[in-house]
Amino acid sequence: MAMTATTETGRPAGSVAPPLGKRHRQIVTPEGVPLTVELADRGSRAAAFALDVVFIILVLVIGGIALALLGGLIHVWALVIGILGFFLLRVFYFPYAELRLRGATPGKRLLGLRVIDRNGRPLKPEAIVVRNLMREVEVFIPVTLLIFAGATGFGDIANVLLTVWLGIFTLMPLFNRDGLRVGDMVAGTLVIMAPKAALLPDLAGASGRSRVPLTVQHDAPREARYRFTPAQLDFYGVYELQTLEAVLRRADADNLQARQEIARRIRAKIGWPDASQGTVEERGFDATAFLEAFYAAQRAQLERRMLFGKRRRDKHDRS
Amino acid sequence: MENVVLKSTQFRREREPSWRELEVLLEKLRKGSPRSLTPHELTRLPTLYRGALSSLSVARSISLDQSLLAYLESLANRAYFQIYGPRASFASVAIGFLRHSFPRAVRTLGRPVLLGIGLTAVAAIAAYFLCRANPEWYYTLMPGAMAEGRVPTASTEELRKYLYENETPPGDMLSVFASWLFVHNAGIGIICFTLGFAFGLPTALLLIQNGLMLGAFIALYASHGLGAEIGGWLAVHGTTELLAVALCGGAGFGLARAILFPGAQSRLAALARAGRVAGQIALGCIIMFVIAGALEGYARQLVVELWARYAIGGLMLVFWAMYFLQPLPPAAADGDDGDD
Repeated sequence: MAMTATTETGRPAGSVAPPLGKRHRQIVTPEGVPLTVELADRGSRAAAFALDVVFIILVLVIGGIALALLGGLIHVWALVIGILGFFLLRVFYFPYAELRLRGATPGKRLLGLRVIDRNGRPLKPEAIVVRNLMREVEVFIPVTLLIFAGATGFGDIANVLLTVWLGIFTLMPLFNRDGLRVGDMVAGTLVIMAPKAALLPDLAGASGRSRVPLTVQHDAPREARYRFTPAQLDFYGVYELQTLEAVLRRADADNLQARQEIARRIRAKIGWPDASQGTVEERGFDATAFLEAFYAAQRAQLERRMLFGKRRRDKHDRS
Repeated sequence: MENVVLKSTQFRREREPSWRELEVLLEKLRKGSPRSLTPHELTRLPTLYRGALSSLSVARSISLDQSLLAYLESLANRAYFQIYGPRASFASVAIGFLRHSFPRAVRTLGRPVLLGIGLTAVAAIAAYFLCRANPEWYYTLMPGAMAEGRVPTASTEELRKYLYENETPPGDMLSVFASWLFVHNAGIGIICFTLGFAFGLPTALLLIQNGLMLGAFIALYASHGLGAEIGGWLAVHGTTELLAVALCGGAGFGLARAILFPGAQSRLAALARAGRVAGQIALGCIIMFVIAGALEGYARQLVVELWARYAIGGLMLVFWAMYFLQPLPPAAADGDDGDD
């Protein structure tokens, strides 16, 4: 399978994606760039399906009423439209919607889900058709059997066996890591969360924590109050840096206490200020400004090292 | 040293306008169709997409700004979906499908399809000889509901009546009958295909049952000297309908083969590869069932001359043979080989 987590080695440095979490999979675009996608959770998928079924039923009910009203006039055609309409809706609602809305039925769209090709290739119409035809064996046959269990003419034992057997089809998403249902397996597709992420201001490219877009503020002078020696920047790695970034990006006010605590610990660890940096007047110490300056300096240091091929994972990484 | 601008910051400053531009285009596409973009914007889209991909690659190697990486990852993802998402034009997909894809799919899964046809045929022949040898077999092979009084003890006249005076009301109800037949048959076809996933066993059982019923039915009429008549009655729609059921079964066997004998590929990859081809067959068969339903619902009810029934059935058979065996252009090399 193409979706196993990649190791740190074995790929050119330029195309190494970050290590994958449990809910993440990697696809490789036709251009050869690995993209990380987040698997849709099974609950959302079930909810999206339920929504779509509700939409189908709504269309059926409204269409049925309309046909019944017209039926007095042209009853034969009303019957024909009814029979064909039900079939077409049942078989083609999903593939048609996924084709038109680029890989998402209305239900999926509402819940932020999307169908993609498991290998990153273009999603083919036949894959969409297949994955939805399989719903017949996953949902429609089991449901029909449950409703008409008494009418199959089989004995109780046979009915139980049939239910178990079909239940395996229906519950297939629970039995594999990627939450693939039978249709996904047959069509080679994967359902993922539609990505959405906003571009936040660059903490290292700006002075202070202003939320003004970066393009306007990049010429602002860097805060010169807090400076660090290369030795002081030799304690932490990428993991600590990005944890700090997460803290700094949190805008809530009660965060201040935490920041002061973090600043205190960092100072203790790196021995700041050292003799050359003089003493700091504790009352005038601004934890946020200190952390931002430290973040910028630390990131500059780590990124420079990275350009020379050394990516320091965390503070324990001494290689 | 704090006064030096970070490489990653500089990189972001240079590329950010093009990311923003791509974002605007993606938002437009999400809200409307590709037609909502100007021609200029449409030509920009692939360029910007590749730009975003390259930005992502660069950022991964030079930047430690987590939010920037997350943003680029998501931007590249969204652009990728728009560019490599399914093509929206339903009509062109449908025409291309009927012109080439359907016959090609049938030929790609040639052996499973032949197995489907073969199972039906063997079961039919076996049932025929069983019933000719001992009419009691008929009751075993035909479920009561299907037989509707067409039993070995019925008189020749009664049996003949079924072939010419039909069970449906005449005239305008024919269209209802035709559409009901289509839905019923297409349902069987889809089940035949989808149950191929269960190692093909249920598919085989369905095809054999179908063949047994066919053979028993022919034997019943043949035993009353109505062999030619039942042939004509079946030929009208049967050449299309039975072929479609066998094709659906073949598509199901295609799935089963991929699961049981994936060969050099992983099971999942082999299944995905076979699944797409098999799905094309199933889709094409739905269209065949529409034709079969029309033939059964209309033509069989309206045409009663034996020769005309044979002519229709024969023509359909020749048509399908020519359609599936027609010379096809080589498949477009789009890298869709299903290798995982």
